Amino acid sequence: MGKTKIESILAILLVPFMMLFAGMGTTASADDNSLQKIKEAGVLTVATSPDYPPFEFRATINGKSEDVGMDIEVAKQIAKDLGVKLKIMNMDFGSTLVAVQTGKVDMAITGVNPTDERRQSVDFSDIYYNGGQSFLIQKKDLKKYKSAKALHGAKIGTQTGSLQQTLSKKYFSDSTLSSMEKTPNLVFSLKSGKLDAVGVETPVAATYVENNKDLAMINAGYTLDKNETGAAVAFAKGSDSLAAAVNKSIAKIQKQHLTDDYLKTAAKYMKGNTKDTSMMHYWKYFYNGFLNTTLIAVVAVVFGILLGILLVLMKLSAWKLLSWPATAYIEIVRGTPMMVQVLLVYFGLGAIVNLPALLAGIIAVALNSAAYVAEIIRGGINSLDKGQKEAAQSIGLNKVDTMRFVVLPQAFKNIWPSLGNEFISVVKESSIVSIIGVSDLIYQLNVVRADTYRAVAPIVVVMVIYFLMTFTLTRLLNHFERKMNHD
Amino acid sequence: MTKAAIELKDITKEFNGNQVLKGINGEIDEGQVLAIIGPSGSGKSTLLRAVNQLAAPSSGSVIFEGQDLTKAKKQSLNHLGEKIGMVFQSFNLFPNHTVIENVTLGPRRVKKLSDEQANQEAMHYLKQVGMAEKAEAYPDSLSGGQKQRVAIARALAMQPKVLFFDEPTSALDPENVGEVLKVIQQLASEKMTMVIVTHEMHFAKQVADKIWFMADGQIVEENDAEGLFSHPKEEKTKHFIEQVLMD
Repeated sequence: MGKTKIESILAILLVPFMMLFAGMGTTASADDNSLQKIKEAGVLTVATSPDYPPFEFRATINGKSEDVGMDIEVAKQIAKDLGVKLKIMNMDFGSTLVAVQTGKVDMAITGVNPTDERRQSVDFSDIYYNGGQSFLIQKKDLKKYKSAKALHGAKIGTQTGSLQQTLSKKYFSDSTLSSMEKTPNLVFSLKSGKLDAVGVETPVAATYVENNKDLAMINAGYTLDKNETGAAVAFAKGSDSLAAAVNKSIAKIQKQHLTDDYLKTAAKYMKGNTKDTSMMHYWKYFYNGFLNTTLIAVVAVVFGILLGILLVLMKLSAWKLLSWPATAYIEIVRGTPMMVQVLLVYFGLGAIVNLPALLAGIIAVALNSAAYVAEIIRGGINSLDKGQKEAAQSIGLNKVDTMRFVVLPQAFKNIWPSLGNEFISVVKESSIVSIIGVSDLIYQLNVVRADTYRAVAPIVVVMVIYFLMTFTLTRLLNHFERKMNHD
Repeated sequence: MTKAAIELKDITKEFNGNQVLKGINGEIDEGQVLAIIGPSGSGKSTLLRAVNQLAAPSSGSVIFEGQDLTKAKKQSLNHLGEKIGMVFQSFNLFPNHTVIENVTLGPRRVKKLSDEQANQEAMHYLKQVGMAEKAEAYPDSLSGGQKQRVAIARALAMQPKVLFFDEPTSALDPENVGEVLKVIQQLASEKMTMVIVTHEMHFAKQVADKIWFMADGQIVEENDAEGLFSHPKEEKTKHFIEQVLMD
């Protein structure tokens, strides 16, 4: 099915690393207590990425934002059959399978199709749904593209790394192919004429058509192995007892054709979502995103500064045992993408202690910021007139006092503007934590876009919110700067 | 005979293979004022810094209170700050502290005086240099001369045995030079042991008990003020004095 993206890369990067830490691996089957563990805990923890209606998305129920969709109904059924409570953890699609492998969750149910490639890292249940493949086109092009055959030579878009991308490469090598990360972006390109067709799963296409009067869908006409294209539940390797129990539930779902009901329920929620797609209607999503982004930024900045000071003192120390690790830390953090660091903290550190996504996000951003803060402070210290240190020495101050009373206060004043820039970039770059499911502004942006089928308006709203945040912060920093210059 | 407060033995200093001090021998006498004069680049300031260990000499020894400072451990060098005070050309006041905080920082942190006592003593020294009214001001609001007087008070507050001045008036506007020299003169009359690197020849002549004329990293000539200015023995000294007194 549709969603794949980067998780195989993540698995390659992260899983061996974590196995080193946690001693977890693919050989757990010798001691399979997967089902027993869930029953003892009384909770089934499930990872999902709710930006993919009708499989999973968010809807407001009685004023509360909840995960809904076909997959969520399947998960509910499984939990019910197991006699345990259901706990859903949201994260980026790319992270769900890693969460399964590292034991952060018991299973992932997020429209995953069980390809051979994925089977190497996780186990899958039986297929619970197979919707087939379609193309979304503009309604006015229906005559031009009566069937998928007519799309040869046309401009076709698919989700990056998805099955649709693989299929389009195989079947439409003579067409102009392009891909994007998010389905709403593809649909927007279709509507604005940049693409002629977008390859998606049939139920996804159906919901888009239902909610967009300009769109139509045609069958993709692929001949496909059912096992390769259906949706299945993912478990950690060797979770045989859990898999058996889940397959029982799936057999029931298949027999009673429950997925049809699930899709109807999903459609109902979709209707509720698209009934009022004004951005005001979704204010609460944005508000929650704003709160989380603020929380992450504030906590990360405070700890970033404290840790940054510690790092710079270590780095400037004459003692190599202190200076070397600090230098190494700063170089590594500055030399690697924040995204990788966020993933490493959530899954790597998370394999040792169970960290909630929000906390992991805050830690990662703070650890990242500390390295930059340390370098900024070091610059401030180095730029200080040598005479200041000499004067401190001439009245007999020791090194610690010289730092505390003479060097650092002045360094901070000098570096205030660059430090301010760092704060602002923390606000903006904290957006990366959305990949582990922290519901910050960017995460909420994707949820709202998926729910409303509106491509641009949510982006504008989020942009305005970010701008107001950074603008306020800039004013605040300027205020403090003026205050410092007065004395 | 006067007693030596500090004895210098064969002090050399190298910077990147450049020999800036080429073996300095001499004594700084207790209760007296030593002025060091000489052309720019002759090593005057370097010598001061080598003696008080801001920039330790490459070789030689500095004997102070029976101890060779060049071999002293870092720990005891910190205490040196208490005993050898330093007044810099560019004042080096701490701009993030008020005038009185500049003066009390050392006594509070190094001598471990209570805030009350440190403030009391600081006010005494600020009065001595005529800066008591500006106690609560920040250095940025002061003129150069005022800053330098505060810097002197800051050094005095540590009650040093010896006070070094590194061209204390070179960074001042001409109208501010007098007020600083007056303070130094006052200290001289109180028999403070001082070493002053200066370009103010008239002042050196007036206040110094002994003058070193330095050139090319060496002491070319040593004499009392009268002797050195009126009857210079060396060609280099004569030449220098003729030049500077012409201005």
